[in-house]
Amino acid sequence: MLNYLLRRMFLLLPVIVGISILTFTLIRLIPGDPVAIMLQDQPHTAEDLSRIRTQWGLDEPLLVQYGRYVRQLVTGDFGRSFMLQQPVLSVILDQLPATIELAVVSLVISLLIALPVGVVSAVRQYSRFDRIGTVIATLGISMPGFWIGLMLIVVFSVKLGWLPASGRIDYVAGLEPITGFYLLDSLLTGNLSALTSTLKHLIMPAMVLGSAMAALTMRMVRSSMLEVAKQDYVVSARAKGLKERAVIVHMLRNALIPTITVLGMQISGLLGGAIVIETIFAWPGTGRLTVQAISSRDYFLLQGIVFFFAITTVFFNLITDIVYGLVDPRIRYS
Amino acid sequence: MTSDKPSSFSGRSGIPAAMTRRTLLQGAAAGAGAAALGGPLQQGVSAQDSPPLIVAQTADIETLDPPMHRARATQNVHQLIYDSLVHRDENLQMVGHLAESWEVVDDVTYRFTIREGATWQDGSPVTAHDVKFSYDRTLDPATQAPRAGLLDMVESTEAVDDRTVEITTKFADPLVMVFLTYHAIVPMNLVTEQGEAFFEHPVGAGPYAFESWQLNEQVVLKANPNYWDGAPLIDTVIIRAIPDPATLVAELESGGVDIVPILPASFYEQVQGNSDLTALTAPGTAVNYVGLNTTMAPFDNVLVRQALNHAIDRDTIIAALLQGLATPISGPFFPEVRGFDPDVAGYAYDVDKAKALLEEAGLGSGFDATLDTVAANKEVSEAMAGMWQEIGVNVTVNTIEPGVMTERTNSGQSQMWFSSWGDSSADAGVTLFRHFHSSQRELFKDTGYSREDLDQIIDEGRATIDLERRAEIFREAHRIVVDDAPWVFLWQPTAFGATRANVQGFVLRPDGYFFLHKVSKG
Repeated sequence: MLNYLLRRMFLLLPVIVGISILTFTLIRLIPGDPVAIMLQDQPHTAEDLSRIRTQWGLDEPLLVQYGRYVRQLVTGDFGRSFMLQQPVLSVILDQLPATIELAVVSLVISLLIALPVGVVSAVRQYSRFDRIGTVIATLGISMPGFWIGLMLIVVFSVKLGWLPASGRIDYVAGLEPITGFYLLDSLLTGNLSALTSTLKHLIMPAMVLGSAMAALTMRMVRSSMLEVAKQDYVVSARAKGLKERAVIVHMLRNALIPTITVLGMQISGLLGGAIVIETIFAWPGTGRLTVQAISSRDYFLLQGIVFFFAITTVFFNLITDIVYGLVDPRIRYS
Repeated sequence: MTSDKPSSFSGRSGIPAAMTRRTLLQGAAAGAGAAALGGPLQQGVSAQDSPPLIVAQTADIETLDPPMHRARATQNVHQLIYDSLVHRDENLQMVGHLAESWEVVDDVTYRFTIREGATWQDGSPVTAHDVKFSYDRTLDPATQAPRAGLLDMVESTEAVDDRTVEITTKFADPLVMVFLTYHAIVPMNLVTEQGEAFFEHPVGAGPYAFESWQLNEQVVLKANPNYWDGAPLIDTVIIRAIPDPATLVAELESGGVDIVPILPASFYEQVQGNSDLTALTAPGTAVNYVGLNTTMAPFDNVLVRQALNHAIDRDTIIAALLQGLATPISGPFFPEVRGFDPDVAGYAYDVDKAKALLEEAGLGSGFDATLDTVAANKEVSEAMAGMWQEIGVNVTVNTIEPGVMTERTNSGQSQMWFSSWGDSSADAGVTLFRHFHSSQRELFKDTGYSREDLDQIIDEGRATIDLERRAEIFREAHRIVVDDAPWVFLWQPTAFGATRANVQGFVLRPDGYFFLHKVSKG
């Protein structure tokens, strides 16, 4: 196992180099000049443009710029955002807790929906429950998140006045952030009104993300359950008189393997930031940061974000592979 | 999603500016009854005595260091924290802020007297040395300040004594005072002492003191009771960043936000129809236009450009798509601009005339063209394409991301593009120089349009200090540009914002700034 891990880690090196080249070049291939975009709203001259370009090092040959980027990366320096005038890594880390908090809650919601519904749909295949589940899942996959988000805001914020339409917490709740994870912080400081406020702000964006994920996970659980249902060990388990409930638990363990692959992909996607949902709900996370970095062509910030999350995705793929071994004894790493 | 900016902030929309012509229109919603129903923030749970005032913009601030950005949303907040030497009132008249008075010593020398009793939020007095320090810091190449270019007409700043500061400019320019409104003054001693760290928790001389900033969440400000223009009426102000305009309006409707200073016209009816809200409008300080690349056939033919101008029914588009929130314009300026010529008729909607002009240009059977636009202006662009179809011109609407459009127009790749241009100086010199002077073509290929005689007129006007004479010179330029039609001249968008009905004392300024110290909640 240790050998396997070390080998996987070693194989990450070329991947990381590849990612750094790709992010660096692709971002510079997007049409649009960051300096021209920054200056477009106010009177400016050609000298302004060239002065700022020089200050940001954008007038140097691309190879020189790439060389500097790599030298910085090696020392853990992601460079400085020209839009925010701050180190890129600290900006990303500052926005990350909001995104992780939203991702975790969305994931929990999606599993709470997907596992029971997926299992029941498979066990009672073609029943009314299964059919209704299929229709809802299809709707969940095909309805755009921004539309559901806006509808929720109209109903629960504007019409009913139950939930806040956007943001992460009410300032008046008086939370003193410690970790940046507001649920955790409000528990740590024993601030009940902050906890309530955080939950109220979380519920709508997490429902939108969670239900979209649930739709896919549920179909995955259902189809893999149906797959394993035909296997010999299930038949023999039933033949020797095992209770149906116990049979389902045996089935579920094997049915989870493909589901975990899907979940792993969904999690790394969520951590990159749910761009649309974060924008709709004014959620201060990495998805919104990405949009800002793109529209201002903040090369350093954008390549920092892409690099950071590419590495995260690679890392989660590794975790997924390890978790396979835990749920499926047939998989051995050597 | 974020490229769906409302037309008033899309494309090149610049600094919106102010004017005196029309007074503020209040929407139908300002009912005292609604106000009595009381405060938003029903979720409030806490230790505050009075509920905070919540203002929302679509963008968050980028930095707390005044010269280190070129973003309007950031400047709006800096203005509340720091204050500037002078500013303009809601009628665009220059008024003293940290300076109580000033005199123009000669064409290039301005002398300001610092306001008696103006203090930093820590209680120490604002001095002439702070002003000199702030301007010098912005202009110092070592600062690498993006705002340096907005101050580069300043040759030097000298503190004559503690309360007198003298600014010498490189050349005579009546717009110097306007440019000074863009620059915040910072406290010399504290910045020198603390360096960069100062700007993590800055101290200013403005009506509100900085409390905290969480990126993309909120900036929290506390009232400065010693502000020279009176203590703010509300203790706590929260500036939130909400990128999606539909969410902004939902927050207003549900009482989560008290004031939204800028909204897209498309929400006007919704806001007006809600008795909990007050719709505010003011004449805007931008113009919308379609740029025509005069270096490409057939746009190199002035008859074609005039035909395209005559083919647009501006009133119909304004009524049908802009909820009435715009005023047609005859040329490149809105009427409040110095140099606007009221006698220029412009291009009336006249399909027959447009067809005749095309015929005369030898293009009676029409031609194909592509119009670049951004998502927020797609509908309007398609409506115009439909109108050009009437005269046989087949225009394909090409919707692209704003940064891509800037690249395409700057490099002269665009054939036609829908854009907007704002100018808060309300002086024709800025627009004429930027868009129609040959010296700018290296930087902005745009329409490619320029003329030697027009260059001379623009140069002469920009160097003229006498405002009457200056206006007269620019009116000549106005006539030339309208006749040559490098743009399809469209309209002046109306500035539109909204508040909860219980908000009192908020003034929607045409230039887009907001001052909050006289605002209260009923």
